[in-house]
Amino acid sequence: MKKALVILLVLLVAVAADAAVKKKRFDVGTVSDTVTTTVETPVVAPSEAPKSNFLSVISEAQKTLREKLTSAIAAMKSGEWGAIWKFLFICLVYGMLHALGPGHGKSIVVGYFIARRGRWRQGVALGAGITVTHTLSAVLLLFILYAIFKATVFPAFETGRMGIEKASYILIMLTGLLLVAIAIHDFWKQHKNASSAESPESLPRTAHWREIIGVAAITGIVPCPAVALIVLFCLLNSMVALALLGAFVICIGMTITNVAFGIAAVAFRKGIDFGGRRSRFASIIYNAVTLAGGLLIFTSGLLLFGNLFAGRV
Amino acid sequence: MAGAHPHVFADVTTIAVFDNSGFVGLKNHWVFDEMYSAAILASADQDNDGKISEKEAPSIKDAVLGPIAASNYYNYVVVGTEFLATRGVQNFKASMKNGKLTLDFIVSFPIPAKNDYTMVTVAVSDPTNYIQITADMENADVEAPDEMDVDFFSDNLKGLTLFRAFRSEVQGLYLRFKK
Repeated sequence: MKKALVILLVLLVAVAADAAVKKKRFDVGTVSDTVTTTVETPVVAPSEAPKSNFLSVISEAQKTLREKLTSAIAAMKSGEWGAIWKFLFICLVYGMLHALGPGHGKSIVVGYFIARRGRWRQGVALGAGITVTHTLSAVLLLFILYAIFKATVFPAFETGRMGIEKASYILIMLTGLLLVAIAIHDFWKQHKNASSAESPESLPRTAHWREIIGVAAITGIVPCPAVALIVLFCLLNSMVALALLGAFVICIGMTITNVAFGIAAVAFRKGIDFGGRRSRFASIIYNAVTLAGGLLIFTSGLLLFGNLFAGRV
Repeated sequence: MAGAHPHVFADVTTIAVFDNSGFVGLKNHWVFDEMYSAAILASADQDNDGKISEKEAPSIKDAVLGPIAASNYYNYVVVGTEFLATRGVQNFKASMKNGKLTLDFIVSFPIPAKNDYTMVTVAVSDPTNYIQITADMENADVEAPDEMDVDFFSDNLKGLTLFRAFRSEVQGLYLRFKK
């Protein structure tokens, strides 16, 4: 009997430990003694520390940086202009980290240069083009609305941003579909010409400046609320020049991140083209990669669009 | 997907509220970051005194909670295998403390108590991570009359299918209650 009781207790403790929680108790009242014992047994199984992944870490870092930005601006407001270097440095790092988050065009840049053979400078241009548009649209939208609404601008800005966001994500999906359609069309054409000798036309399509400008525009057009909030905070503290300077430096930070992805994607495609050059299946490889790039862009747009509705109950 | 895209930061604590008939809802206490706080305050502070009067509170509510009403105010309450839709917000209060916008409100989710335990899982988080909500469930509490038997603990939400869209470090509050 005693043995059975011990086993039972061990079992209960094991179950409680498995839950790995700190059990708090409210109103023990009706609960029988046995259960109370198990619950109050100091189950020291340490509550499993939540794993923090990379994205959580950079989210937390942005929270800290935002607090430091706020205090730097407050310091300058009270005349300590020495804080400006701190302010600019934080803006730069904040921009770099911020662009690592979704919705800043990294996967679009990568998708595009996987779908298209690009030059180095085109990789840089698309990466930078997206972030410059992203920043400029935020600054312009905020300044225009500020002229109308003055200090009460922010809710209007948010309404505008949400509308633009939807449109942008739909256009990104369409861009992806277009790239996929072109890849399928090329594939079909080559398949039809397969009987004739392999033509030099089977070389992968190259990036066009016109396309790059288009992709940068539709992806970057979503105004960056992070930039807007910092600009507005400076405006509310009557520091217009600082607002613009801050936006400029955040833009540089975001550009560094995006351009790194652009260069990596151009290099990746160059590698594939180089490797596939001598292959019998060169044209198939080129087409498959182009298709993959288009699909990547489409999926990015779809995920971003879907994310707008995440959490609806 | 959207794990690292925060534009607004909020520290949140919650209290699960019960009355004699069962679960009433979640008391939310939100403290926003100074930048967002300044932007929102400026949008509603008609008399420009840096404080939120009773007259100004409704526009704060519209500006902050309006856009997230469709997302249940980021209060997620699971009973069985479904998220409950909220019946709305009650007792809304807004104030500024040390430059930070502070909101207090109850998000109501009436669930009648039975003679047997009802299990409820609660999380406060923005799955889109537009607002990075740091909900301190370790210090969550319960307010209930003596007649209501309530047990609760906090733990992460890992492994719960319904919460798979949430960041891995989001903590949940697990409750069970009966008459």
